[in-house]
Amino acid sequence: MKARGVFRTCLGLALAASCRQSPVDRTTPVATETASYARVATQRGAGAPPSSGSSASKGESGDTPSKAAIAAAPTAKAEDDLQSEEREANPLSETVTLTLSISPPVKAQVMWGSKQLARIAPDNPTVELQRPRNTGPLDLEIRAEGFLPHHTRLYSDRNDKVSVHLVRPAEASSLLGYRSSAAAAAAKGKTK
Amino acid sequence: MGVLPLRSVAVYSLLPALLAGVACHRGRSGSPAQAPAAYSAPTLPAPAARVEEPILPPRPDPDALPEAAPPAEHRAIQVVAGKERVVDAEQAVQRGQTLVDLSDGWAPYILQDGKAADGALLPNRYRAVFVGLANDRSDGDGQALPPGERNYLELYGIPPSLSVVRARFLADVARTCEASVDKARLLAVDGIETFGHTTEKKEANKHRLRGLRLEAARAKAGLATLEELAGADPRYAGEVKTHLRVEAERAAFVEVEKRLACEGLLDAAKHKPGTYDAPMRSAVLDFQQKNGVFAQADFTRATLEAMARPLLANDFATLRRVLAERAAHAGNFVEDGTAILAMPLGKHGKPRAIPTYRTAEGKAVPVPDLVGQATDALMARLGLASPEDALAFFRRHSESDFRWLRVAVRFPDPPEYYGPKMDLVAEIDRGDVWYDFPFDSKGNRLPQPRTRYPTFNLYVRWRGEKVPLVSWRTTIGGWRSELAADGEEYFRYKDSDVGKRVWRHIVSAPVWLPPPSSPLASMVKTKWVAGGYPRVVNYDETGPGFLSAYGLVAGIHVQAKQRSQGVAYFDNGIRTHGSFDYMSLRGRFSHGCHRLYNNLAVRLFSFVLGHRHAKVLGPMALGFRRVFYWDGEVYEMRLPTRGFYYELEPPLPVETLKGTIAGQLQQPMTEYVRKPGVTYASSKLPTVSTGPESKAGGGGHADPSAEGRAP
Repeated sequence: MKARGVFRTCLGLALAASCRQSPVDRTTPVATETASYARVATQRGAGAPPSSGSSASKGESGDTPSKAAIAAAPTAKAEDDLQSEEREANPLSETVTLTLSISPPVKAQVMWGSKQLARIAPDNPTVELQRPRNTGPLDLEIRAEGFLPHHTRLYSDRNDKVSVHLVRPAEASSLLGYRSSAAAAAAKGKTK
Repeated sequence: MGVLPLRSVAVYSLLPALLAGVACHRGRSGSPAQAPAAYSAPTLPAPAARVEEPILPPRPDPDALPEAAPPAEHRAIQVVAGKERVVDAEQAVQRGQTLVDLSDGWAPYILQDGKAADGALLPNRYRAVFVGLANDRSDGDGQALPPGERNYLELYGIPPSLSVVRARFLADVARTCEASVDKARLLAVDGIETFGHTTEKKEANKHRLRGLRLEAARAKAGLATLEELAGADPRYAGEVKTHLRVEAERAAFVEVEKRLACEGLLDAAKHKPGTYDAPMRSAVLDFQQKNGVFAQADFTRATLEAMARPLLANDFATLRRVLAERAAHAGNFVEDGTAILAMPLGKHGKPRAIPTYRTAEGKAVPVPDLVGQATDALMARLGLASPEDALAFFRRHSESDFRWLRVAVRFPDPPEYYGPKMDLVAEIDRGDVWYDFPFDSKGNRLPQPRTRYPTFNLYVRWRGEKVPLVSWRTTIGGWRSELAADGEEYFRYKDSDVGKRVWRHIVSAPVWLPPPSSPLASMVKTKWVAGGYPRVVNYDETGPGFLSAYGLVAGIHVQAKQRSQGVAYFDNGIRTHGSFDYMSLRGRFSHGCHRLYNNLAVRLFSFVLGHRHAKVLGPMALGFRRVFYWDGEVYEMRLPTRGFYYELEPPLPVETLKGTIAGQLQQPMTEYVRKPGVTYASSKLPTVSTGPESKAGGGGHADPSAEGRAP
């Protein structure tokens, strides 16, 4: 498999009539209510953009936005608040610990490609793996009877953990993409 | 002021494409800004026998350091009077020389780990992937490449490591098949027309029948050749011309097959001779990406010229580009000879003025091509003047040497305007802009010619002047196809944010969040994983990675507003960022962002970080998780990181200029426009989405109906 791709399907083009966010779709919180303020902006000069009088040369209007520019950006959102990643005790360690837990606690198989990486027992629904650091992510598939196959990823560039909530086929209709996937399957059937 | 002399360096420059743009403008007022011809079109001298030169006394070499045997961590090399020696790196630095890292572990500055204020290591996690890709060790996820697999990622901003270049030299010099390629046949055509599988068969048949017809007419007329037939009977002139062109293209195609097989790129066992099948397309694309030719598996003239060059000549050109990247980063230079493109065209056909800056004495000095000069200096210090020199260099160094190898070299003195706090200003000139809807009611494309294309310019404010440092092609928004909330596709003008903004944050290995409306089919792919091809979540476009919608690095455009609590920053979704979609930089449109070639974006932001006060924030948490259903299975996209952040203090001004508005509309349309010929379920237009994520759009594949094209 090549590392590069040629050109991929444009994300903005295909059908997603039912791509509404479902309750399980937890997207990134985007700060919309409050603007992101420079932490040091209230200190004189520091953090603020250069303006006439700072490092900007005289005659330049600095970076005070013009009225037109403001009007042109009515949809601008406040810049996201940034949060540092949790620090690792030893970011240079040779191995990382990857933890996968599933709910509800059932008997399951953890597949990595064609390999069975682990078996999960109902009395201990957590798997802990040691992997060499920076050897690529583990794209895992969790198979459990009575549940839909569940794909997730654990990253080997850090100690990583993920909790997977397995979904029964009867619950699938609440998932993001259920309708579009069904529509696509129906369309495929028609063309056949 | 005269025309900027195109130095011989430019022939080998890292970006001859852009320099070719300089040439395009010379003396051609108002001429269209042509798309760069090729990433690299070096015209190397034939590596034939060298002319014996008279023995001259050695020239003084004031930068030559004495041979030394320092401890391993202090070792560097120099080639002095044709002989390589180990020197003391510390001594070199003391003498004002620069140490250029030639090791396989090299990554650009912006991908290096950082340190927090308390001294803790802030890991830049993409660095390991970058190094693995450059060394053909791993794929874009950091997983081991299957045996024999190669990454050709230079056009994506990841130059091969020196060990990879070494392996190419050693493999290519051992090939004996090169002589079998008839270069004259390759160069007898301007390109080779290709077709899809079905059309190809039809065209082949058409050609055969035309040949029979013409041959019969020739025999009947009693003429010796088809050319004579065309001359004697003008009715046949057109057909003869077409026939001979196709014949020449077929002959060239045979040579292409030989060349690609010789280079080990075409699997003869899988390829059906004479056809443009999948193995051939893959081989041509590999060749182009290996040799830095801007094309997508088409047989362009630049491709054929590259195929006509000796293998080692192409390898040597690659080596020069690789070293240029190392030199640019070691010197922290950005000036690459393109600054002249930021100067206005002269009146009445006069060339652009040479950009200059003022010295302390008030003298106007041309803005130098520091990347070119530093590369020259580096090549000279390594004694690399020809492919043979390079071969000798790689023969005397084993692969293990590239664990530590570095060279001590004197770079050009930086100009007076250099310093740790340069007053830099970025500017995006949108060029000619059309807001008018580009289709008529029947869906025919309306002409919207542009003579000025969008450019990204970086300036330094110095002694009362705005001095251009670089001028590169970029993209702006335009008419794009977009999926609306009602599930139907409309056209929408995706505007670039005009006005004054700032870069406050620079992100290496940034992550792009797909909007919730992203089609889920594109979010799943099959991938080689541990002995199988399971379906997995597709992280290509989100990143972090070279295929990410934001490329390898991005500068976030934010609007600064004064508020009672201080300065507030607003993000309208616009970024200046690297792009995997290198072909889009040749006249196409983005969703509003300003794309740059990945390697230039990496250079640019490394330069900015090196010449402005910046705080290393390190990896920023994202915690993004999206669970979705596709084809009977549940997929979970997990993006723990936003990327590795730097904060500029103060932010760097960036302004997008309005450009020249052509056509009727003077303001962009803010609503959706129905696609001509499409029947929509509702007569009401849906509301447009305004999320910042919609401005990147990742590039995706070109939407031919909505893309503008270079004239």
